[in-house]
Amino acid sequence: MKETTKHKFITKDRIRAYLPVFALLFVVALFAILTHGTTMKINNLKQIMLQSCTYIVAGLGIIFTMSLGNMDMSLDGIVCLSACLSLLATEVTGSWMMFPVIFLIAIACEMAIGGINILLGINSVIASFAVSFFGKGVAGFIIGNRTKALSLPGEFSFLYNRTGFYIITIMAIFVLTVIFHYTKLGKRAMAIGSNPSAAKAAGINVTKYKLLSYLVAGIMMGLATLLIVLRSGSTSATTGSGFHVSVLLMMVIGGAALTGGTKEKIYSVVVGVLIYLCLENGLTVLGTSPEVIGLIEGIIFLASVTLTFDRDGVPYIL
Amino acid sequence: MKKKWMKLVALSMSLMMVLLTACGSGQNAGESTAGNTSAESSEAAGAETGSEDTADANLTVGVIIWSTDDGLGADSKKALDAVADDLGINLIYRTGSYDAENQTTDLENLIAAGADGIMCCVIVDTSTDELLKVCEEADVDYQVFFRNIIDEEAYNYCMSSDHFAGYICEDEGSAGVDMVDELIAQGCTTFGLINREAGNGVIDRRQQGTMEYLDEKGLTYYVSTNTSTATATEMVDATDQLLAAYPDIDGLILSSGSNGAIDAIVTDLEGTDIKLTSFDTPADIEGSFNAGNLCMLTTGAQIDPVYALINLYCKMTDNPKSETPTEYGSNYIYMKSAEDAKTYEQYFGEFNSYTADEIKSMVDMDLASFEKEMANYSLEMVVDKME
Repeated sequence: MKETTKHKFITKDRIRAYLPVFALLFVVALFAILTHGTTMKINNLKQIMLQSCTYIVAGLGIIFTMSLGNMDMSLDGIVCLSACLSLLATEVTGSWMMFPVIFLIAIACEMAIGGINILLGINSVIASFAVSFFGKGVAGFIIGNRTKALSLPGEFSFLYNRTGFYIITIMAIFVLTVIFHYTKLGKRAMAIGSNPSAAKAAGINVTKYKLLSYLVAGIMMGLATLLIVLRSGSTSATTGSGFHVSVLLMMVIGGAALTGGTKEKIYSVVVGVLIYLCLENGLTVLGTSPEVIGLIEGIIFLASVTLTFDRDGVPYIL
Repeated sequence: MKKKWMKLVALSMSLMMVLLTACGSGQNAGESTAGNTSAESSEAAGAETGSEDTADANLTVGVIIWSTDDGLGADSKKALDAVADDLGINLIYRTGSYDAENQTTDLENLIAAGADGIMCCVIVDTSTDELLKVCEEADVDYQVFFRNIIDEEAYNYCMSSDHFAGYICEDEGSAGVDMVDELIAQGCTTFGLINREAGNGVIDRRQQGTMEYLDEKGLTYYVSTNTSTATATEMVDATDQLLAAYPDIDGLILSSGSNGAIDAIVTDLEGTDIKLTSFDTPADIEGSFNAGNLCMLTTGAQIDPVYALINLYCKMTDNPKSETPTEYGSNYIYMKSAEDAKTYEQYFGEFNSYTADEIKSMVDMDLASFEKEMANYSLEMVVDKME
């Protein structure tokens, strides 16, 4: 009897790998046609690139914790707290203290999440929410008791430079790609995300690599916060509001796996951010009402999660 | 399986194309110009200056506002759409941004959409000048509404810019004083302030004016401070907690009732003896007064963006009201009873404050006349006009 084998050409891995790229090309082409080329004008493309910098930088860090299988919902609190304390430090000392303080606070917050998750065994989502509330609470307390707003000193405004943002983002993509895909840190983080028990049995120091992943996330969150502060020129108790949702949404649209593991790819961050921003930009250029934009984004998010969610290793579309 | 997958992908893509095409073609239909953008202005404009490309097309104004769904937001949109229709302007709205970064993104996207001018209800006072810089780079005029500029550096920068049309806001401090007086007249002796966190210029002035007056009168008050993005549920919880902590409170002042908070608090207080005043309007104003606790509202503020749009339009069409950025004050309408509410809803349900001819005549007015016209705005003015 002749055996027939099912040729599994369409697997979840291939969907996750190629669909976001095709989606990006589709979105760009569609809006280019609908807006008669307006979205393809060089200044518009430059704006999209500029807007993407903060999200890409943040996503590059968060993909490390996501590869562990840990979702990080603390980004809004981290951005708010680090922005607030860094500008306060600069105001008090009258110096460049802003820069080390931003990174120190962001790293401390991410390491706290990692520590709570590892040492206390508390779910990372809960731990990240706790840090988020803490960050927003402290920032709100500081800002609420001030009579003068916290803004970027004028002498630093030259740092808000489009070319500089592009260079930083491209370098970050390059460096993090190498670390994530070609170093022990990235590979072991993914292995831990796939199966922590198996990773441990294979001799991987799970605690060490988890903490290192959170360290990388903290550094990148510090960099993302710095870009946000330079771009907005000030901070308030609402700085970073909704940032965690935006970054998560963009990463999922780009094909990042919510469950982590070896399927994570750095390019999903870049592709997801660009899809989201091109979509938002295109819909705005078309004059679409904000409610409809929200509806479309919700549908796309649902579709992305549905198409790419990993279900026990079985090809999804069956 | 392959066929199923192909069908699913094809269906998803078709749905997406239909949705997006509908969004695009819906805007191109000539049924209503207010609130929509035409294909011509999308085609003609880009991220660069709109004015140099739109010689024959309608002007497009981008409006950045917190929401167009709550009481004041919806009324503001209605008023702006009516005035835009009268002036032949296209409007594009961006909502939902509660921090400077997102408002900057909204601004950039509106400029890319071909906006020839931007009206912004700035969320973070210190970012007012940063937003202006984006407009300056795109050679687009910029108007602030519902806000003044508190930060000195931001103020100085904006007031010296050629692209800044000006700002307009209400006398929030005086309104706070009037609210305290109204509660005192209602017999209240101990006050609870449901406040929002610092950073929003308008709300800060409301709260500051109220607290300074209470201090001046030596009255007892307690404060509950909430985040600027607090939901209606969170505001109700905060109110309950304040009342539980200080049971002798008999008068409440709500400094910001946006996003449904005022409606929720009115419902929550129903059946109690606590009197309430609010700076924002509920969806059902008459019903809220009939519920028994609400005794004063400041409302009618949707006229603020109307004056802002006229001012911006004048600047965009090289007919500015002043050579320097304008600083306008706008009147609140006070409501103190269900009767007032009924009158208000009868005449303010749609935008009836000014006819199309009156709007066009205000465009041609000089600064002094325009300011006089703004000072005349009141419930009585509109009622007289309609009767």
